[in-house]
Amino acid sequence: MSITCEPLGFRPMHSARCSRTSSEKRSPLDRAVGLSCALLVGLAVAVSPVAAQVTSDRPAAVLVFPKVIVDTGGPDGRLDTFITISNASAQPINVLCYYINATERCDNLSGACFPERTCTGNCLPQWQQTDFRFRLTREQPTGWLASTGAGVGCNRLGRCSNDGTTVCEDFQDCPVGARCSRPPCLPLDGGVPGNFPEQTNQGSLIPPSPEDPFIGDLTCIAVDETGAPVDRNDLIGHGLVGFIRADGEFIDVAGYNPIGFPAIEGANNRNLTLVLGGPTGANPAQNPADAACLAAQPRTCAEYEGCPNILILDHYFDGAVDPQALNRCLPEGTCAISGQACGNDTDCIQNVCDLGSSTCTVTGTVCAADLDCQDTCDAVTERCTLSGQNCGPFGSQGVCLPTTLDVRVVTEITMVPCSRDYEEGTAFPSPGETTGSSTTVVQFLVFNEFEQRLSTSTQLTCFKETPLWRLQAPNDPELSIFSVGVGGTLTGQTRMRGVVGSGSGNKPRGNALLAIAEEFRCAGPIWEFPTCNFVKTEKLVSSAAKNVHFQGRRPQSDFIYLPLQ
Amino acid sequence: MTRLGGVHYKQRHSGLGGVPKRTAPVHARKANSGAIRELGGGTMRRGSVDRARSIALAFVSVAFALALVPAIAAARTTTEQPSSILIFPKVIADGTRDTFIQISNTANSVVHAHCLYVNAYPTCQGIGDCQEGTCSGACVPQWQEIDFNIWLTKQQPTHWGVSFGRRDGVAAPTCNRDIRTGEREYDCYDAGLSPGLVPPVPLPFEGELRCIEVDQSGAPISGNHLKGEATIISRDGDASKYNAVGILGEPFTNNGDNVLCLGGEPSAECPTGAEYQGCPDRFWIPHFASGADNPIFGPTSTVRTEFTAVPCRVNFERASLDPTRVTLQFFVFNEFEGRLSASTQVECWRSFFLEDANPIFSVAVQQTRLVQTSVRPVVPSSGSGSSVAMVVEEFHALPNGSTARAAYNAHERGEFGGSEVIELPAGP
Repeated sequence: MSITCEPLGFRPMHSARCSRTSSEKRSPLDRAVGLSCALLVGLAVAVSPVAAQVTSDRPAAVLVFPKVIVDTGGPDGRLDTFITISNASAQPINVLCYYINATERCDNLSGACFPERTCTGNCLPQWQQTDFRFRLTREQPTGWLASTGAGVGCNRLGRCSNDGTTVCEDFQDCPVGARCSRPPCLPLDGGVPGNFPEQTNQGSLIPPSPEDPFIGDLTCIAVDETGAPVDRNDLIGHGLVGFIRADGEFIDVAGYNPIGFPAIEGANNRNLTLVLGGPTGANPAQNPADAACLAAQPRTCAEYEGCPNILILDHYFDGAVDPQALNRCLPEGTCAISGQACGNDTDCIQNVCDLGSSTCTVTGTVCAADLDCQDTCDAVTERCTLSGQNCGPFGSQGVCLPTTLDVRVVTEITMVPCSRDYEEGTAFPSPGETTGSSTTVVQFLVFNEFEQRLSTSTQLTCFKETPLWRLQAPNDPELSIFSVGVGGTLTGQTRMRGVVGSGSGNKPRGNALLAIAEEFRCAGPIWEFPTCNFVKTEKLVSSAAKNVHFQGRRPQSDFIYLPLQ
Repeated sequence: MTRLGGVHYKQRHSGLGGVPKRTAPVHARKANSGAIRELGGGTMRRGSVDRARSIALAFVSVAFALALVPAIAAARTTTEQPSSILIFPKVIADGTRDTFIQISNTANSVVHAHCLYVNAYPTCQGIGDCQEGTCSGACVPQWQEIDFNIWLTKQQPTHWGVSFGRRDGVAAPTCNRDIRTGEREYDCYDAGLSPGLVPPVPLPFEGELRCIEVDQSGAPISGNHLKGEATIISRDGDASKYNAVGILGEPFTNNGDNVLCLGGEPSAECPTGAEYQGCPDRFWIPHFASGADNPIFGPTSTVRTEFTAVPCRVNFERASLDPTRVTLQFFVFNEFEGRLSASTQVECWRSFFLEDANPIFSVAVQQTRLVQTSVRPVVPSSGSGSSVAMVVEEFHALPNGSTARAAYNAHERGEFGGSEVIELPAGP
């Protein structure tokens, strides 16, 4: 008789093995106890994955907006991010926020690095932080444009909605049915009427993004009047990236929920190091990590829920044709996507010469007649005239690709590390360095619909925004494992994991990461890999953002280090 | 453990043809008592048997207590974790928009799921068309249910367009690029291991899709292996995307019958208590006031917000006869901290622009661009209420007709008081 699980000491332990010999028969008692033990162990294993972790669908104490992007003066149009944060409690709450400026700068000042790269030297990210504070009264929502910020008191004039030009102070200044649209602001500068002096936005100031164009992330933390972090899970947010073309004929939006870190009630020691996940200190006798975090000075036990172990993203493989976005001829005589006049569906997908603009309708190349819009094989160069494809005897043997219009999908991912150091600017990598305390190696496992698995990895330093294909084959997107031609199926599942201990630096962390994804639909011929996005909008049809899924959590903590106020 | 009732009971009474849950306690108790006595082969003293049973029960009690504590602490639906039940609250295929469904298996073993569409599109009880507003009689929702099964190999993702479904067993060409010739085959909708036959929905369709993780026999299980998302694509190519609302399965309490118990305590309807975590008690949704402008697009732009809600409680056997009705209570806070309230009814499924539900959502009433709405399903005095699963979609527009949409998941808080059930149709 050999059973090890005797948690109540009901029977003496006979062996350290969890097995029995074939000659032994288990008594009902042993079996019952064994089964119960198994149940307990099973529960311990089975319940833990369900435990709370970071969240994008519950109020939290820390919100991370992984992607904030601004380019209000671009030649194609205006790009901006509208940030919404609200207080989901009946008590006022103070919020401390940090922008991280990941906009790259050209080291030899020869040009720009973002959004279009004209720099002839190296483009180096800045990793500059900008902090600000504001206060929300009970259940109050607020929102601001990243490019302009917001202040207290709505004393800036607005414009009437009927024409967009008439200056107004409030609704009465505009015609009936129109509204006065004022710049975003925090309106409660004098408190709420009545005896509620604490219900005020006084002291709030949300600055504009550190520069324009700008790309980076935003983190907001619930704090008390003194600036110390508090365990109040009352913050909700939303990030909305919007683009309007210069001629006003095209708009696009993509919205996502920020990722929240719920505070563990009563665990916050209110110091300037925020401990995300890891040992809780609940069981020091059994768990050395719990004992260690309790013994540390100051304590390093978890104050907030931890980051997920794995991020899961379901996506179209890059370059896949969207089976539902078809440029059909609508009954009203216009093409559904391109908007051009049509008599039948063929008119909407064929590459013909638009004599008005002297450009081909699909490829956008210069033309004088429809023949110029055909991809034909040049016998001299052995190249197709539009696609540049090799059509010689060792290529496609005189055959060129069709130039019909397809709508194809490309996915961009924005990743930020869970750990971040706002205390020491030097903890971020210096310009030109590739490592720092916020550097993490990210592993990707990519599954297609044949259950086949491919993998790759990349290095994440502070902030990374990239199309999936560029993670693996930056010079030829069609050779990337994220490309539909390699993936082999329309959609795939990618699992992303920050590698523990993969970074350097003098401060510990768990190397977990957070991410959001954006899908862009781009129109073009089949041989033109889709590369459109919010800053390359010429072929952009639409975009959509989404939150990724989480799985598991890791035993290591991540940390947010705040500077002295 | 199989002799202690749970799994053994599930094996005997599982599947879509299982018996109603309320018979479970009797069977389970019989199985329990019989099993304990059989263990000793009739040679064991009664005292030992009782003692074994007492200890086992003590452990089981502790185990269930352990299971319940974290479950209650973390009880909720989720839009970001693999789950056992996926609810896609908003599925549209009406000729102007179509929906693309993605579901994947996050486990390293095969996972099966039983999926059910419910078509809430109204039919005209007279002459004309409800969609075009020409119906001479009443527009009555169909509550028509369509079910099918899918299975996914380890870590397999799959997809389908709602209006055309997915064929089964088709040897479709893979997506491919011939490096030598440059020939490309990127229109490869059916490539991949077939997840099974996914039927196209009858058009027009608007309603929900629910997928429930099951075992090979079709019995619901608490595997928490499924994740999903939906993309709503309009005919001009505009897309909005949201994550399916997931309901987490509880370990060990799922008896595999056709009555799925979400949250709550043991009851006649749910003798083993919660088999899945409960739906939320309330939602918090910050959004633009109806008709307000989006400052990115200027003062002449407008934003309208559409809520889509579907009750968590549903009886698929009697969906058309007995649709679940829920009253949603709204508290709307503007940027001045002013509060207004309203309510509306949801029967089986409802998608509505906020200003259509009540004028208090309009910018003319609120006088601020942003508002925050707290949505709370009302618990009726009868006690058999339901919470809802929700998704939010914003419609941005310019006076010149340019439009754009963005969908997102609602924030939630707390657990709905009381047990809710999903009753699956019985099998053959």
